[in-house]
Amino acid sequence: MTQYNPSQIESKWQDYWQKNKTFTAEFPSSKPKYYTLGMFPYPSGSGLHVGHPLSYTAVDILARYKRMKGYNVLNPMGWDAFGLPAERAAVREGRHPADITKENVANFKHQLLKLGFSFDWEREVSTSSVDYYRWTQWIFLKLHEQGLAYLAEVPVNWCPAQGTVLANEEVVDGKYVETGEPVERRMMKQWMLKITAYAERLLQDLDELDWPAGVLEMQRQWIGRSEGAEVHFSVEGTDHDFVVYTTRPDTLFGATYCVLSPEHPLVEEITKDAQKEEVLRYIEMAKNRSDLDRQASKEKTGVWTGSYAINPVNGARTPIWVADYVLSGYGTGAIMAVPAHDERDHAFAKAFSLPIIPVISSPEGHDVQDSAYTGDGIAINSGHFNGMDVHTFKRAIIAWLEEKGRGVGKVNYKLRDWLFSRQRYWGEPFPIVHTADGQVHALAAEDLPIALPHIDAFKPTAEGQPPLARAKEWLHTTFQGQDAIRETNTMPQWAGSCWYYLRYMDPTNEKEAFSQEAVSYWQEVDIYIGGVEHAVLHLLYARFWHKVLYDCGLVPTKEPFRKLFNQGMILAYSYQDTLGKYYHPSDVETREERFFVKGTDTEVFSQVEKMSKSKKNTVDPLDIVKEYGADTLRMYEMFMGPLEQVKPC
Amino acid sequence: MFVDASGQPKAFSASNRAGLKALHIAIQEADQGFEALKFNTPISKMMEFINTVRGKTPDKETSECFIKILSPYAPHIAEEIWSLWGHTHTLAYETWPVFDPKALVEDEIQIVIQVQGKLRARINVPAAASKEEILALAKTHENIVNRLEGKTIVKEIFVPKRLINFVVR
Repeated sequence: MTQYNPSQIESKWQDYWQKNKTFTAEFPSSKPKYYTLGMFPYPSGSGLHVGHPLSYTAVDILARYKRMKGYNVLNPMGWDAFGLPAERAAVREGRHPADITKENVANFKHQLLKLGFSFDWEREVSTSSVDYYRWTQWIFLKLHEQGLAYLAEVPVNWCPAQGTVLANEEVVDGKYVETGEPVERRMMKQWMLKITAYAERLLQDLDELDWPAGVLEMQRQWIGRSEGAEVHFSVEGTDHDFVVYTTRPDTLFGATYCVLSPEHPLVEEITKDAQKEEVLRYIEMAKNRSDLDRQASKEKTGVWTGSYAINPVNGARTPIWVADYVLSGYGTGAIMAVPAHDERDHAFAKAFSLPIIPVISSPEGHDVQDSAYTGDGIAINSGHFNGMDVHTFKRAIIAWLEEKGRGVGKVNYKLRDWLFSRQRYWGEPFPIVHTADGQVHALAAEDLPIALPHIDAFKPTAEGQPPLARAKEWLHTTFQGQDAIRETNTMPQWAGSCWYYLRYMDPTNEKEAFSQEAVSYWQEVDIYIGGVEHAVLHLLYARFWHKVLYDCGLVPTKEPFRKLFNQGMILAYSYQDTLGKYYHPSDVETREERFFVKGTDTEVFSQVEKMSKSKKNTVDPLDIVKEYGADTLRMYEMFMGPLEQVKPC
Repeated sequence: MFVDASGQPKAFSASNRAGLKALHIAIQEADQGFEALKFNTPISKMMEFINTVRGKTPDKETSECFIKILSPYAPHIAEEIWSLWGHTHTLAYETWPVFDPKALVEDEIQIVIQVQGKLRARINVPAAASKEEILALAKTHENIVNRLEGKTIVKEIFVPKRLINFVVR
């Protein structure tokens, strides 16, 4: 009897689809369009894991369904190829990242083909291919033209041993997590993108999206809009003034001290001689702590400057302290502290025995001396504002401050501008040159692409310059007759993934990033499926770039992704001994309902966790395909449970 | 079910109400499921279809519809069977089956008849029959007639599409 032989039959049809270009999206077309998109992968050396088929199968089912419903379906695939992992692999293996990437892409593609996905491979793109990134550079020029790209001196985490800048997440307790080497805070000129200029629109337009509520909420929190006020405090005995931003202007009467961040320009000016030494020592120490550390720390630290500020609402003398729990980058870098109604201020006041005065009534039994009360109530101890509820009080006090010229109502955002440069090799070069006179110039669209030069060593130079500084020939150029050097920073991996969904619409266009005809037909993505780990950054960055292109009249829609869906993670049993070491399930046996490492007395304990290489519980989807066929894997992954739920394997 | 041991397609049989109903339940679940990105429930309805028609190859139309709705999940085997049926092109652009609500309507339903709560008979009635028609029919059943003779019906409990219980004294 002939057994059903999946590998034979599946290869046959995969070849058929490839030869006949079955899934090519037609353009132009008189059919209605439908654009399905799965988040494109970073082509890693280890290939697919079971999580990939989960989202790609869902996309594939929808694509195939819509084709049979008469739609002209665009279902593309490509590679998020630039980025740090390829560079790290290059350093480790002594090979060029382009070669490593090429191999990985071929492997990944082979695996995806074996799963029978109905991609339109004619539209395959790779972010590291010069035909692609010349347009990424072009979009950067558009951002620059719109005044949305600028150079700024920003504090960065500089690791002298590595000779490179590290992300906040890579630094804990002043050390690089991978090596334990010390990290300093340094000021460095970096490219920034002014995403804050779009904060309000990025927030408002969330209401129009068919996205999971959780993701929308995460975006709202990340943008972090607050309505508050800027209030002017004068420094006693001087001509100096500083401005604080507060979301609780209604608690002004309870401001018992003020805090300047260590980086605040006024600190040195107003510190009295007696306090100078202590304050300077404190500023030095704070320099080396990251924003994350400063905000997270339970222990509050700070030093009094010796000076007092005058509270504009009641003339009270409030001591001015310097403390690093106030960040220079948020608000104004100065706060008024109300320990009765703010938890961090309360902890600080307790640590340094500063007064705690309630100005909002708290519920029965809540003593503000013990803990801050942050809820609503009625104004107390607040002069003629007494008796007002919090909301009326806020409005009244802002009006009063504005009338007296001591403050103004203001909307603020947690969202900061986007740090857009990296000191890496494997990324898009900036179309920017620096002339000898210190000026910075954006190149013209005709000068693109600025191709990544070939270099042999990818580490920073001995002087701490980014790796591109090694390409001496490429580095030196001229600009309008002057000598110039090219920008040696590169763009972050986000750049390519910000706009790839647009390039798929017109992937071989040599004259434009995408034609108006193409984008007028394909419009926006109808369904975007991927993991929730991209809920904030990738999705926010893509929305930002899309809105800029919209303002330039280059895309017809305000939003790139109409509907979003996040698939759940696949979990699996993992086995760990009491020391925390993981064992592969194939090395574990069961004896009398307990688990042991085969042939030993080492007991291990099982738990259901995310599938990951470090937990030794991954399953290679290609192994399953070999044994049971792609159709079976696809059905099984879809049958395991609702797509958005987390599932044990 | 569709292909025999030597790899040849099996002959189609005559059309069958139960199979048709199970197919359209699956089509409906697929339509609703895909719009909502629910991919697990359509699979269970497809499994129920398979169970309903087990042992026989359904008629041509039912068989072709089923393979079409299977194809987004399992495109390889779907293409293979499609081609064994003599089609020369891929099924990727075939028209998706249209859900027919009439296929879900039951022709006849079975009603249980109880007297004093004890099961005494079962009758098959048209699905469109009214309550009065069904009660009248029940009272004429031979197992019921003698149990009602000489008694007064105190209550007639009627559970639509399920049962009748005559409470007598």
